[in-house]
Amino acid sequence: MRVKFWGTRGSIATPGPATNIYGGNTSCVELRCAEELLIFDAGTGLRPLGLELMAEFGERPFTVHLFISHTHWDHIQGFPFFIPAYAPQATIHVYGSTGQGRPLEKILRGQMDSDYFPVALGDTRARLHMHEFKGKPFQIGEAAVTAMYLNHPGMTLGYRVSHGGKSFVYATDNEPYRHTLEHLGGRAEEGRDFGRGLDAEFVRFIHGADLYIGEAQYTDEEYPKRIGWGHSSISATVNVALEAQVRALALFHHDPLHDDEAVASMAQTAHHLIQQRGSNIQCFAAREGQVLEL
Amino acid sequence: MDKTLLVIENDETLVDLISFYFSENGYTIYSALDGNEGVELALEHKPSAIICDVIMGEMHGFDVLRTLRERPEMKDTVIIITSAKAYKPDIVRARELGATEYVVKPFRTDELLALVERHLATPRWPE
Repeated sequence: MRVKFWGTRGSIATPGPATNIYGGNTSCVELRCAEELLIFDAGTGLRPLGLELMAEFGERPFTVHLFISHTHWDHIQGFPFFIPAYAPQATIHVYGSTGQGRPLEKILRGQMDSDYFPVALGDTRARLHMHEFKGKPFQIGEAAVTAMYLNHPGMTLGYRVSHGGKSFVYATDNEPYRHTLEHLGGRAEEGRDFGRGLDAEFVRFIHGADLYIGEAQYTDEEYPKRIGWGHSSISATVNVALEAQVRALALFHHDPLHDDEAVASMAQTAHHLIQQRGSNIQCFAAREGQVLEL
Repeated sequence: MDKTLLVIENDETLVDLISFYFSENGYTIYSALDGNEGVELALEHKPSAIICDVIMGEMHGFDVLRTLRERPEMKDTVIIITSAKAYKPDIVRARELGATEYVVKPFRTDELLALVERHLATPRWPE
């Protein structure tokens, strides 16, 4: 498995000198499993990835498997600028959940409505196939894919891919249920306990992954003011990684208010937390352009 | 008052708990462990009330709600959405799609029963 980060930012693209190291493009991760090309999310990082794919394949036919975690802007905004979508030699399989009242295709079509964008989804020239999540594992070549719903406003999926004895998890935009049910539900204590059970299901989902791309949008100091925004604090994500005994944790979905210094500081905090627990998990803040071999 | 309840919930323990409590209170119960089956049972049996979870694999609760509310025979059915998703946008969207109520988990079965009974007792305007 080869992983490349094309967009690591959450919420909104944040270009500029303050984000040069970790990057300003929104969520997009490329995963190669032998010949299979998988992409996770279509944030603004999808645009440069599309350019590179065109350079790689040229006029040759190629197939892309694009997994959408959810359809908030920072996870789909790159799609209209994804050049392979306009290339007749490309076949693009798009996977995701139905929305809350609309099919996946209608949501993607909506962001390319003429009020928002000059080219309609129906005018793209690639062969587009939409696949809505039905709860069951499936295969892409030799890669096995499973998904689970995460705790975030809207219908948000996390994905796990297993291939050649390695496993990769992409699970961003996720907040611990124990916090939302304690603070947003009607029963603080019971909610927290109930939430713990649901959080344990997520730990099982990512258990033993060779790479867990998880979000840590907020510092522990910021999080109490952001409860209910659908994201995690640094310690919550590190604790999940420790409980799940993953091999490596990539801190992802950097907050647009966090410059490079702040992101580096959060990675340091994560290292301290991991060392305190006597673990040898590799942990780093995901950086745009970074490549990993699993 | 017709007292038939359809429970659409992928947690079997919760299905059993709700089914037991409501049947003890005079309800005829139907249950489904996923949304697709739930829609089929709803259209077949036309229950007076439906309790429906959100996060289910085959078809999630918002799709169940939208599908049922598009059917004229389901427009007045009491549909209670239950979920551990406690976010306001989710609750607002469920209301927009026609949910009678949105109940955040965990809930108490006696409170759920009271909620269903209150809505079943509310007279509907004639066509």
